Amino acid sequence: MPRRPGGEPLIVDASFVLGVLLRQSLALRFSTALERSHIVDVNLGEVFYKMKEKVGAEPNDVGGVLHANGLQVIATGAAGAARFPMLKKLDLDHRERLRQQGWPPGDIKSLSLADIACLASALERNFVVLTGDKHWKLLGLPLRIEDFRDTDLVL
Amino acid sequence: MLSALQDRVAAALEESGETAESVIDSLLADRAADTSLRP
Repeated sequence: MPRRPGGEPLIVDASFVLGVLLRQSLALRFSTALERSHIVDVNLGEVFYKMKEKVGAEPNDVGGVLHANGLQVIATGAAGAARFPMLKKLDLDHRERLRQQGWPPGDIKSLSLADIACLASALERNFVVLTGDKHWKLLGLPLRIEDFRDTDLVL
Repeated sequence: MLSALQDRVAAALEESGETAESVIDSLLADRAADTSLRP
């Protein structure tokens, strides 16, 4: 049974937005969802630097197109930032659990600053998260986190 | 407008030998290497 986040507002991660811009087939399925999507400014910065680094696209051009397609830029804000310590602790505990379960150290992922900015902002607003960073789903956060590369996902 | 940018990006990707997946994976690798908040 496909999982359906429905018409809820989304927080999209840089990985998904890159997927749309780069015509990644699984991301393209959801390109119209940009009109109900939000992106944290830090994650938008990731889109900009990666588009400049890999394909030479200018931030103004990329930002203009995303804005025209309805993507709204949000800031983490003080209330979101106040969630950083909790997210870091959760991340630390999660990695420790995986170590105890015998996971190879190279397979244990941790949250980056950009990851935390996205998740903190989603928690603040209780929005569905759309990402390509699958390990976010393993953290047990009280959020709906969807992997845009999940072939069963329907938005 | 989106499709025009996607066309330009597709041409640049083809020229560079990158793929959409490789660019996304490079973002995730950059994040994995980010130790700014790691205890």
